Amino acid sequence: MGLSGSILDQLDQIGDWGLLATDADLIVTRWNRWLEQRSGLAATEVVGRALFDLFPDLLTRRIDRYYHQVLAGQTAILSHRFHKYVIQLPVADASGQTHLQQTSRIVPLLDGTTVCGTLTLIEDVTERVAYEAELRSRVHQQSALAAAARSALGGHDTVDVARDVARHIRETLDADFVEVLELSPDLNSWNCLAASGWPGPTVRTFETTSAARVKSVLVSDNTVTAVELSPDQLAEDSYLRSHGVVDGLIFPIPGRDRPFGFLGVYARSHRRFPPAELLFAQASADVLGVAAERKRLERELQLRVDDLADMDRRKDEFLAMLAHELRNPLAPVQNGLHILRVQHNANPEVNRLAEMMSRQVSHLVRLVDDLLDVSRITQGKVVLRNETVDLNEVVAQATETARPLIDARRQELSINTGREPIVVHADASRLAQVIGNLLNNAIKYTDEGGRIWLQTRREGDKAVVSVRDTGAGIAAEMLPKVFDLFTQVDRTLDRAKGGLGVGLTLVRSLVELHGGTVHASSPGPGRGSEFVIQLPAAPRTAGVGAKAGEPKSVPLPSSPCRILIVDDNVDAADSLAMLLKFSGHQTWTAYRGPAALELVARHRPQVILLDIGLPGMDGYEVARQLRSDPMGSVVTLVALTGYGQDDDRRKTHDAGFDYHFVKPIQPNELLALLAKIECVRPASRLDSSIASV
Amino acid sequence: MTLTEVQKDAVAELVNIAFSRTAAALSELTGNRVELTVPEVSAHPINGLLAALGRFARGDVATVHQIFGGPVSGDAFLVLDVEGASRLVDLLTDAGAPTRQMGSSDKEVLAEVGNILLNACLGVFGDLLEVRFTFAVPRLHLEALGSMLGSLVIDNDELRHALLVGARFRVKASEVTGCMVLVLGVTSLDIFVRTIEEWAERIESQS
Repeated sequence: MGLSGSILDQLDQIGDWGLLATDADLIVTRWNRWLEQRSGLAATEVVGRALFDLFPDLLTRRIDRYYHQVLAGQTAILSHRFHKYVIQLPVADASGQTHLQQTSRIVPLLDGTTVCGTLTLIEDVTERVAYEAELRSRVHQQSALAAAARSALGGHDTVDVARDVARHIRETLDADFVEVLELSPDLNSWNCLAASGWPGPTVRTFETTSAARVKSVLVSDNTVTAVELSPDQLAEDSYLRSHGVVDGLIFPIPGRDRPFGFLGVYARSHRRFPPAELLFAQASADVLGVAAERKRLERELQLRVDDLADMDRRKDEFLAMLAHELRNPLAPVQNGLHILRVQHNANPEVNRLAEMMSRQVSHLVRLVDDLLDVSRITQGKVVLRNETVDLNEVVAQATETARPLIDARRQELSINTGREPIVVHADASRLAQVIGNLLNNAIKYTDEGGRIWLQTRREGDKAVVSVRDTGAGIAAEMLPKVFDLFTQVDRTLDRAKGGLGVGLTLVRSLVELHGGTVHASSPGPGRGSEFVIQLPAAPRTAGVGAKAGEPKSVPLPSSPCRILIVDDNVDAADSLAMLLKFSGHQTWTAYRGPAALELVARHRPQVILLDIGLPGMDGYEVARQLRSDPMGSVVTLVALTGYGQDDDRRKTHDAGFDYHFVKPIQPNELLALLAKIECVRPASRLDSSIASV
Repeated sequence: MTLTEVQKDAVAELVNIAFSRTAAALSELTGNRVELTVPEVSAHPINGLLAALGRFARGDVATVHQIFGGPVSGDAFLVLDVEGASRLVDLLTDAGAPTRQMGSSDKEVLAEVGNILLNACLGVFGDLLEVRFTFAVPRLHLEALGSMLGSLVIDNDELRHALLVGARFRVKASEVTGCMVLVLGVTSLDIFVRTIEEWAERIESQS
């Protein structure tokens, strides 16, 4: 199955290949024109001569084995990858190859069935080899670039990205050395981020700006791409010279206002870098620039975030302090108003004024409470006391609280709660606060004579409360912001309506703490609005726990108590003493801890209303000293404090207090407490005057 | 038709001789240590070959096909799935990361490897049968396994059988498995198997 000689002529005509034929003794019988042109050897110089005499390297390269195999009747395939060429033929072209790259077949020539010679068919694959090498290189470059981009965009450390880039560049471009240097902010020194191929430890920091390669980057701007180092520049650069570098390229790494640094690619022999390789190296430098800029932005962002967090924390602390301080003056005002109403309830003018002032103080108290609440919620200090409650009962309680205001504004409130209870797992008082806030908003923003609808319903596993009004409405662009802190729909409008812009923020925060959502909608300004709360509903079979809130009760007249009031706020202490005195109790006041202890020893009060925040000896210390005395063990201690969290109550309890009231104390609540305490008049005669120290 | 265990062992031993020559040639050619072993030998009618080949190659396959003639004639194939063929070429040529597609140079390498292997095996069989085979120039094909087998059946009236010999290449701690297939007419196969049996008996009596 070899080839007959007559086919040779046809093969020579139809293809662009070298044809070398021999006889069975491996004497050359044919040397075609293709081979003549490429070898410079005419056929007359070759035909008739022994193959291995003409080309002795066939023996040293052991190609002779293939010829003998062919003479035995087999064929031989000599691929380019293993052999490079069969017959050495010179070529010098852009591919950089010095010999023609060949792939060959050697087949038997047959005379009938007898092998009478060999035919070597040679194909020039020089271009193909160069093309395949470039293709492989491109694929490699693309992979390296993609990997570097992934690292850069993935937020990897700049040094790690630089290290990978340096290694890839050196492997892909077959360079001897690669370095990545970063320019210092003062433009006076360089830091080596990564180095590949250098023997021994690499210099980490260059102080000098005189080295040719670093100078070339300093004088460039971000628009300059590859800079080829001239022989003079290389000669100047002692560091490169000491490593035998004779050729090099500098690629500035782009930075924000100036180059971040540069990528240096160096060779110890003269070479050219084809355009594709330049593009790859520049793209790698650009990726490094992206990585560095990303890390810089990350650091800047973190600083800003830290600053914002700090400001936020300071704001919360300020709000807490502000609310706390605002409470102090309210106590004596409330007490004074209560006294006025009790003492002058026959005078309609005084009564009316006192009621009006009470409403405003209550409003102020509510504002301060809301401010304090929102501050505590944002600091995560609010803990819900959840229990199973009937949503409809909470609604009823909130509605009752809002009723006076609705009536005053002659608005119509329609309530639709259905007959079946809607059980939720919630903090009843907080839920009442939420619904109350929504109602108050509806009342506030609806004109006199307007309408408000409040509905509760169960939708699947959700309990829904909706408050709708015919009021001022909300513009579409404001809807997403109505729940934000301190946001008010219209400043000019709201200044007339008052408020801090805190109520809806509280609503959202408290609803979300309950695992629910609140949503606002409005057809537009002047067309009313609707707020819908959704809460997880308890299963229909769940029973309702304690009733939400406690029923209001009117304090019953009690037996008079002997009461000591201790508060460093003179007006608060005196006004409270006056209020209690008008209610039939016997009172003394003290404004400091030591004076209080003295009065206790002298007058043996039954009840002590003790402010915690006394200067010097605080309320806790007074309480501890009182309880350590046998006579002080029977007195009822009531803490008066601006703090009402569980921790605060625990502290007062541990200090020996029996009750804990949050300032400003509501007169009716205090009177109700005193009514509960059975004050027995002691045997000794008591001094009924108010003593001040 | 099926081979007896004795016949299988005999074929395997003969092929191992051929494979060791192939491995030596490839080791010298590539500068890498190449080991080549026979994991199994079986015989199948041509219409049962697809299932049998499925253990060695699936989907698209790279095939080096050599027609041989003489007293025993038929088709010899080296069959590898394309991924395995790429990996083998990369291992043998130190190409580094394997390429997904076989370029022209890769195909040439595979053709040379297949040529060396098939020539070695047929050479061993030729020595055994004391005949000289004639060989056509091997051709490389990349196609679906089914298409390759289909071309064996077309235009061939004689009932044909295939001798399937597994081939396991081991280079640089990596393994690539393929198989060599000799497709013979029933007459050729009969001669072939009988000759192998006689050889095996001869060897046994000498030991």
